[in-house]
Amino acid sequence: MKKKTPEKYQGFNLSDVCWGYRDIFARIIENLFEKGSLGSHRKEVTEQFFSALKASDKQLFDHVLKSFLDAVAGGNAWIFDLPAIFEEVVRTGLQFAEVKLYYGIGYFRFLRDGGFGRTPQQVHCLINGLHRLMPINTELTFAFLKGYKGLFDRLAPPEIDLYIQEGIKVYEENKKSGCKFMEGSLKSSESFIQSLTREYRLSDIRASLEKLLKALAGFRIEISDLSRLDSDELMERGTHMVCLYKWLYLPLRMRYFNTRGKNRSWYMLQGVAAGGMYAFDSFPKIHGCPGFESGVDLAGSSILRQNLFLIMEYARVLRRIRKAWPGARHLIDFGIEAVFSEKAPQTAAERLFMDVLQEDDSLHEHASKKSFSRRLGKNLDLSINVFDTVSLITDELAGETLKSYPGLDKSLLRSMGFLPDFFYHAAVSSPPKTNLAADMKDKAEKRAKTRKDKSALKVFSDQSDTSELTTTSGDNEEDSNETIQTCFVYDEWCQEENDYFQDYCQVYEKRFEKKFAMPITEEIYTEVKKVKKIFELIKPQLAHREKYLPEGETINEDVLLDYLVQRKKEPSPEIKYYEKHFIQKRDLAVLILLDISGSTGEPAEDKRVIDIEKNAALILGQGLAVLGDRFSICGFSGTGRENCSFLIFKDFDDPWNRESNSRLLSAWPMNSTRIGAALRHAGYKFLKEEARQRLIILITDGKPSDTAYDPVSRYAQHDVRMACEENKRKYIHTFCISTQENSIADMEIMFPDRRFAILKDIHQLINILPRLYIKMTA
Amino acid sequence: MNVQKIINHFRIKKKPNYIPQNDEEKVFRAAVRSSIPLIIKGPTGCGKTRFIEYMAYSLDFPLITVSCHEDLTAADLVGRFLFKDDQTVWQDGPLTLAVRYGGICYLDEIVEARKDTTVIIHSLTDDRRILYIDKTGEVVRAHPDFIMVLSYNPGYQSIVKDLKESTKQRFASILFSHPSENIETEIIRTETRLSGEDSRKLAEMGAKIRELKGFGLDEGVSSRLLVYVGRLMREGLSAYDACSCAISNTLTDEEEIRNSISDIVKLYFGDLLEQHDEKENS
Repeated sequence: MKKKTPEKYQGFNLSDVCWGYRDIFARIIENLFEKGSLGSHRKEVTEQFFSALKASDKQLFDHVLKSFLDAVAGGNAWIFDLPAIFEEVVRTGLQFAEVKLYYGIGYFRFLRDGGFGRTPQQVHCLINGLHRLMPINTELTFAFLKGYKGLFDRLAPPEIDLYIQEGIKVYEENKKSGCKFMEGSLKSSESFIQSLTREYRLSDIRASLEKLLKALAGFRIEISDLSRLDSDELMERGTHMVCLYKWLYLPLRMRYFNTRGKNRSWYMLQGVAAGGMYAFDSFPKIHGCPGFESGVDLAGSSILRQNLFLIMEYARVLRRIRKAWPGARHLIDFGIEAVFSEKAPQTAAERLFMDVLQEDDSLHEHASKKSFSRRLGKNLDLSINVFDTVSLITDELAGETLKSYPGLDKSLLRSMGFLPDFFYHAAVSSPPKTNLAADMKDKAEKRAKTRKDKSALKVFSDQSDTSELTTTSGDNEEDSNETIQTCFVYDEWCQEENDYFQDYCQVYEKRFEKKFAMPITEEIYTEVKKVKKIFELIKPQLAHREKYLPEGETINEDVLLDYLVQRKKEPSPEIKYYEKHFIQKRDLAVLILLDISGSTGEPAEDKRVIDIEKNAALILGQGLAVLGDRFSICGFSGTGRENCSFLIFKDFDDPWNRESNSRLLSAWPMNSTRIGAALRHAGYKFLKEEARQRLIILITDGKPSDTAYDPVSRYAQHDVRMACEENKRKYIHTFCISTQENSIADMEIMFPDRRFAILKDIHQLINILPRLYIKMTA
Repeated sequence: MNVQKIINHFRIKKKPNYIPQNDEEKVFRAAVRSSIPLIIKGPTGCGKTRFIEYMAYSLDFPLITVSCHEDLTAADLVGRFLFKDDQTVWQDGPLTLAVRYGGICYLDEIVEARKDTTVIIHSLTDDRRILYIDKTGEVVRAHPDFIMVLSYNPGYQSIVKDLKESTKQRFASILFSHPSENIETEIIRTETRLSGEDSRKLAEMGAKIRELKGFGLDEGVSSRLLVYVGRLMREGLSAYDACSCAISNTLTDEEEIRNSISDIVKLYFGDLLEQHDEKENS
């Protein structure tokens, strides 16, 4: 007899499954219901689950689904708690099965056997990887799936990304090797994993280094990847670090040392060295500015002079760093040891560099060199900046040095990985507006004159040196003079990079001009009246006097009289005859943010979505005006990251009158939906609002979409999430009302505090918006 | 208690340790002679209150301090009726005390008080120099030694928490900032009795950390915190631990910026290299 499928199976018919599997399927499904993994409390997951099972009507898909059920019935029940991940896992598995049943079965078997990882993050990383590889080749993708078990415990998600990248490279050269690399069965896979585990990447330390440099230099220095510069010249010179006016270029990754910590220390050393170069007015402070495109401009063309320039300036700064920042001494020793560990100083330039760096005289081999390098070192300690150092390089000094270090004019000092290359030819696009170089030169000339006057070498006290050498405030003033742009620039979050794209979005704020205001229908008038009435009821009494207080501003005579009477009856009645004036008010500000993208122009039955949004905002606005809450109504749209529009219909300080109503009703559908940028700007608008509770109500009819958005990686959703988190840190809450265009999974990503509502029908917005508002704020 | 006795309690008995930064002492004395009220502006912990204590001591004026907050009412400043021995007795508030008997009335963080409260000082801060107490019907004329001083930190106040123009324009202002490295070194040395070298390192480190303001830090490290570090060091804490407790952990809760501050601290009092290898071994 044919079994009747229960209603809770949501249309999935067990009879579609081959008879041998029916009982197994039924048992597992019932088991899941009993355990609470499925059911009405998990509506979305249950729907997804059964919609996956409905694939059983396809030929031979039963075997895939059997693997799927085995996988979810086992130790992976936790994925039911995470609708977004559940949806992704199931969808990707079925995609595999569509290509080859074997892949689908294998996919779910890996899930069953724990091959997807133990944490949501690991599963997410796998799914991302699979999506990335799928368009290239399914076999390669499946190979990655096979090998993932050996990766997730050893590598972090960004490292797995690099592993995939390498696998793709190998695959492009040889398909079979690529697949084997992904499976992890090639020897090179293991060595690559090992190199990744000891590798330290610039992205891991960039933020810390930028802060350190800001503190040490006194102005912001942007750190970038060295590969952005002309690589031929860099390779030729063996350069590992270029330090220009306000830009520092470092290698993208560091895996030279056998431990991650040491590789990190190397970056830290480069950061400290760069900080010293800026703080102590060395060549990088002007490198790339007009007239100082390369160190050759200061040193001249002879190798002897170039060597002296490099050695003396490097030594000057390193000596100053050692003195000013004792915590960096070991770091510098570590750097020097690393540079000379394989190859001891051999050339004259290297020997001179080492000798000038040594502050302990006993380390010098020869007496004559000892006295010469000591003298040179002392002279360098007197130097206040790079121009001052250059002024020390006289013909006399050059001759004397050459005598002590023969061969100094033959070959140039080799590149020190932790010191910037002064001879890299560069021209910065935005040089300083003030005459920074001229000021430094002027200072050096004054110093040289004083030195001449004093004639003898005299060691200056550390204190006087420090006060002169650390004057870096000039640049800050210069920063503040930079032209202020008319638009607002915001960062945007990239989930895949796990970092912000700095200054990425340009938001243009403008007041919307009223043009052809939409007429208000009778139905809306009725709704307005209703809402006004309700809001009137919840309006708090603004001011009142609190009586019966043990202390307060004034004494209430009536209560005092009672107290006196009471005192006749009992020895010490409770004192509560004071009263105090209280002002009770709703300390709340709200910004209603309407999505006015092109899609809102589409009709929803008789009206356009935008018209419904406008009416809803109008009705809520009337209620808010009655309630006395401060509110603003704005809209957003745009085309691309460089042209986001933020339109103001009613600002917080605007009166809610015919004018602002007309502006709102004139809104028309525009372009794209870049929600993240709009939320950030809404957050900024709140900065001027002193209200204790601040709320953004976002009304949208669809997913965030704009040019260059990648739907697969859910780039936009993660950016919205980050914008909400940023606002939350400023105590601004975000509530979103969306249509069903956004799934719960999407909304959960975007609004991590689950402050959202999904409307089945956009027409509900008019009724629901005031109700939701009261619920949220009453 | 005798009112004079009460007012004497407000006198500063011991000379506060204060190192002048500019000509603030000269300005203050001139303002007192001309009966001009003053606003002292400056970042947290830069020595505003210490300066007022120092001036009160130098001028031998009582110093009556009120820390303002948003629930501060006019009655909290002027006074109120209390019920005592079956009768209501008027009790002068801190402002009335200073007006009546002379002294510095110092309203600390004035912008925290509500605007309707601060208007009460208007009649005292112009040429009238009177205080009308509505509850007793009394008009109190300010004592010749009465001076009103307000303080606030313009750095962290939002634009809505500014003083009303009508209030602001009754005062002369003295601007304070974080002291220069030399002065700060001296402050740390005299407050903590640390060596000159350690004090200088602390002052230099403080200046570097202040550069992070707006770059993850809302407020730079104050001289007060640097002094705390010195005191903790004197009590036997290592310089790094003292800096972590009094600076890194106090200034921020964000790990990333805390690590950046730690890096700066290590440059002066620790070892950057050691840190990373230790981290790895752990």
